[in-house]
Amino acid sequence: MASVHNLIVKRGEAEILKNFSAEFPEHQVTAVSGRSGCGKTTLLSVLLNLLPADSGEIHGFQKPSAVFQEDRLLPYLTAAKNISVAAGCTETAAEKALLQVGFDPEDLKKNAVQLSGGMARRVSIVRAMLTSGDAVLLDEPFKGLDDLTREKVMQFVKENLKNRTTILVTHDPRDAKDLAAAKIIEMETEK
Amino acid sequence: MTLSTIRNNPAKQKKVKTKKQKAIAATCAVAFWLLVWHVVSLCVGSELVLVSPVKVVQTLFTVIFDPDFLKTVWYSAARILGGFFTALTLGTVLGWVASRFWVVETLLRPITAAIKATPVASFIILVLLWFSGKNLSVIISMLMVFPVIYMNVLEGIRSADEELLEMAQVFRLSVSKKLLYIYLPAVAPFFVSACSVSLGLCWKSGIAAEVIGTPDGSIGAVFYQAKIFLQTSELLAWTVVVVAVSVAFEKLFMLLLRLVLKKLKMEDVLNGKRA
Repeated sequence: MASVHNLIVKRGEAEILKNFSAEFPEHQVTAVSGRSGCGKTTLLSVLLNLLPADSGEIHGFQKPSAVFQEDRLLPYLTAAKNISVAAGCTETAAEKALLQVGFDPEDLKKNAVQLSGGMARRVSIVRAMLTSGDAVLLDEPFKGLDDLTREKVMQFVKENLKNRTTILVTHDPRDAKDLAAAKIIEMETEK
Repeated sequence: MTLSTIRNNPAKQKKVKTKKQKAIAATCAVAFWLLVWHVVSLCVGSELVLVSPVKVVQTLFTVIFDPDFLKTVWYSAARILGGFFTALTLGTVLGWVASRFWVVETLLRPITAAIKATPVASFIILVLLWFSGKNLSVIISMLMVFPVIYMNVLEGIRSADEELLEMAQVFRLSVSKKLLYIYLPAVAPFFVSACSVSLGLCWKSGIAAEVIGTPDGSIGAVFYQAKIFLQTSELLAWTVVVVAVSVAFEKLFMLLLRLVLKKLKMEDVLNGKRA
């Protein structure tokens, strides 16, 4: 089971995470919420091995995939190519998945740099879901999506979680409920 | 009249010139300066001091139809461009290595700084002492181009998007995919502008080296002869040839670079369209 114990992460003098401990049950969804600046994204960065911890014990994942807070798409590639490059699937499979989350066939020809915020978000979600691995880390994945699109994307995410350990960072209680989170961690802001 | 009416008034707006208008304007500017040159040369009245443009054009035709013309151009071009491509390869490879290993960058920093600051004449004399004059222009043009390419490649690699590199790490992208999809778009604008600057630089320094080293059959040797025999018109005619060959090669090389980027569907990289 992935877990962190007495995790301390500093940025300069400020302690972003102070003695934070949590366990993330295998094959289940754990929702993490809390006020802005409490260290939710920092926690995901540590678990993704992108940020070193100053101290503490970390048991991460073997092959995680992620939806970052920013979309982080390769700007000169189409949406499908972005997905196939990262997820290792065919472009046809990526296009099929994109249509499933409400992509317009015309938008499939566009490079990522030409996509709207909502479309780029969906590409980023599909990329994470089609990448095989033991865990999915989602950082506010549905932010900026209208209700109808959110519904389609939520359906797609549920179908593709495939029993993977999932950590969902969100401000929206609906997200945890819709993804049937087994555990909810409320992070506190240290003052 | 309010500010908005001034803004909306087409008569008051700055006229945008078409490509054709711009070309006509540029031709007129060149014609104007050629006329000034001609008038001044008539006033001076000495072909030795200032030859007229008409005489230069006449000499240019004599030079072009000389049986040895292509041989002379090829001799210099092959060496100067040889130096350019050597520097291009070396600068790109070392730029990449230096971006990975700070020791390499630290070691190369004083070298590139010294090459940039040292007058080209010092290098020419040193190279003449150490090697033959035959390949002088290869070494000199390489020395002039290397720091430009190296520093731009290094800068380009460093400008690669950190967030995309993190994404590549999380999704376990291979080195080749990272090179193609993250580093290449980051380096391309730096590389293209470095090549554009370097191509002019290699011709200038290469010909200067040949003038001092005077290898037989080179453009530099022709320049030197023109100086000895006070053949101003020949000197200017060969200058026109060097400028034409340099510009033609630069255009051709930049076109090829753009075609490669287009083939990779990255033509927008040069237009600064980023996510």
